Amino acid sequence: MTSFAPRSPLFPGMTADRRSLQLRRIRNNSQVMTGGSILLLILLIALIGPLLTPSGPYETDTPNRLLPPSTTNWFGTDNFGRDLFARVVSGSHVSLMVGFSVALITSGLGLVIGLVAAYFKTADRILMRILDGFMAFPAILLAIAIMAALGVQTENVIVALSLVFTPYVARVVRSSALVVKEQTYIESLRAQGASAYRVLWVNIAPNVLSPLLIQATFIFADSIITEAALSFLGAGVPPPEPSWGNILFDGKTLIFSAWWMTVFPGLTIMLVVLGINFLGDGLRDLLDPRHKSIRK
Amino acid sequence: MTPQPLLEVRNLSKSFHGRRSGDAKVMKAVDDVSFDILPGETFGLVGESGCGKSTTGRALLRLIEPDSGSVSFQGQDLLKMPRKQLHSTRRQIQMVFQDPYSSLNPHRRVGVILDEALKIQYRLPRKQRTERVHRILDRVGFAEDYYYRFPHEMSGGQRQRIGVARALIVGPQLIICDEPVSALDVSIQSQVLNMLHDLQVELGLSYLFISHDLSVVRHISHRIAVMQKGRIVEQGPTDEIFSNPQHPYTRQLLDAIPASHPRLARERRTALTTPVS
Repeated sequence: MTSFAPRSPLFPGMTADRRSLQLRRIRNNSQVMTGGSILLLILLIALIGPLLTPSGPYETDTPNRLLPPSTTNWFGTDNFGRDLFARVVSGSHVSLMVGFSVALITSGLGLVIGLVAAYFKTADRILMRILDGFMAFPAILLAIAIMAALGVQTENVIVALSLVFTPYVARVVRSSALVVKEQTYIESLRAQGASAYRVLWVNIAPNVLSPLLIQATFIFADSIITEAALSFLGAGVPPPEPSWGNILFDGKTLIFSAWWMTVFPGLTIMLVVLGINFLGDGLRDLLDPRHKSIRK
Repeated sequence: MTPQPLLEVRNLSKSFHGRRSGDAKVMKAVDDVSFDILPGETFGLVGESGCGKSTTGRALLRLIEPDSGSVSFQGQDLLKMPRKQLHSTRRQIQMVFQDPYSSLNPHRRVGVILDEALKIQYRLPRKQRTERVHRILDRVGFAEDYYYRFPHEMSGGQRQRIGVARALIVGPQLIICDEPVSALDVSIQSQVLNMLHDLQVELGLSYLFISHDLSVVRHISHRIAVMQKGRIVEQGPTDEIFSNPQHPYTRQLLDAIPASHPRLARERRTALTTPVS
C-alpha cells in the first residue's frame, strides 16, 4: 500500500524498535484495522468470488429471471436471469480497478503539478488558475462532459475521473509542499547551491508523501462512487460489462418488484467506500498529528 | 598594515515592500551597510531582533537578492556573478542556521545530509565522499555510528554540531553563523562556541557571527558592528565597543545586559541617574 514511496511514509526513517512501535500504533488504531479488514474481505471476495457463483456474469437464463435471493443465487437473479452475485463480483473488478487506477494516476499527476506549483511562482499562477477552472465544475458534471467527448468506454472512465480528481490531489500536495519549502533545511540547501531538482524531488517530495497517501485513499473511494454514478447515468462502463453502477441502473425500474437488484450492489458500494474512508481517516490520525481525532 | 579583507561589503541595501510593489509602505531592512571581514577573524553583528542582521547575512549569500551595493569575496563581486561561478563560490562561504530543529531534513539520516552537501559541490566517487563524511563527523565530535542517526534522535546541541559539520564539509573560508547558539541551553552554547573557536584556530576560518546576545558576541568576536533599524550605527574592535561605546543605541544595548553582581547593577543605576556636571 505504500510501495510507491522511496522510503515508506508510514515509517519516515526509523530504527528497528521505533518501527515496531509504529506497527503497534497501527494495530491499536481501530479505524485502520476496521477499514483494512473490510477492504481485505472485499478483495478476497473479488478474487475467489468467481469460483463460488453458479453461473457466469454474462450467462442469461430467461426462465429463471428475477428470482429472489436463495441458497443457489445468493443475491437473486436479474431481469435476464443472470446471477446477481456473479455480476456484483465481476463488477467489483471493474470498480476496484477504476478506483485504484484513478488513485494512482491522480497521485502521480497531482504530485508533479503540486510540487512544481509550490516551487515556481509563475508556474503556480498558471497551473492553479487552470485547476481552479476544473474544480469550479461539479465533479460528476465534468466527468460526464469528458465522457461525452471521449466516448463511453471503461478506459475513458479512468481518464475522465483522473482529470476530475487531479486538482484535489495537486492542491493538497501544493499546500504541504509550501509548508516544507519554508523550513530552514530548504534554505540551507539553497545556500549550499543545490539545484531546484534536488530540492524539489529529493528533499521536498518525501515530506509530502504522507498527506498524498491519505488523499489518495479518499480519491479511491470517491472515484468508486463517481464511477457508479456515471455508469448509473449511462455515461460510464458500457453494458453488458457489469459495474456496480450499471447493475444499479438495471435494477432501477424494477426497484419495487425486485429489491435485491438495487440493495445488494448498493450495499457493496457502501461497504467498500466505508472501508476506504475508515482506512483514510485512520491513516490521517497516524500520519498527521495536526488532525488528531478528538475521540479516544 | 591591514591585510587584504576576505569579504568586503559596500553599501548593501534591501527593502521590502508591502503586499504590492509600489505600496507606500517600504521597509528598509538593510540600509547602506558596509563592513569588512578579515581572514581568520570573527566579525560580530549585533542588534535587536528585526533590525536586519539576518537579512544582511542572507543577502550576502543571495538567499535574498539585495537591491543594491556590492559584496566582494576575494575581490570578486558575488552580486554580479554568473550562476555557475556563484555555485562554486558557495564552497567558500557557508552558513549555519539558528534553529537546529528545522535546519535538518527530518526524513534523512545525518550521514546522508552531510553526503548531500558534498555531492552538491563536488564530483567525487561515493567512497571518497563517505570517507570525508566520517572524517567531518569525527571532527565535530561524533562516533562513527552517528552516520545512521536521524535528526530527531539527537539533542539540539548535537544537531547544531551537525549543522556546523554540514557547512564545514565543503571546505569554506567564511561561515555565516546566523544566531547559531540562540536556540540552545546556556550550557550547550559554550560547547558549540568553543568548537567554533577551535575550528577557527585550526582551519583559519572567518566567521560572520550574527546574534542578539551581546555576551556571546563579546566572547567570540574580534570586531563588532552594531545594527539598528537596518543601519550599522557603530563598528570597531570588541574591547573598544564594550569599554567605550560611542553611539547611544550601543550604550542602551550594553545597559540591557543583566549585571553579574548586584553591586555592579547598583553602580550602573547611579551612573545613569547622576546628571553629567
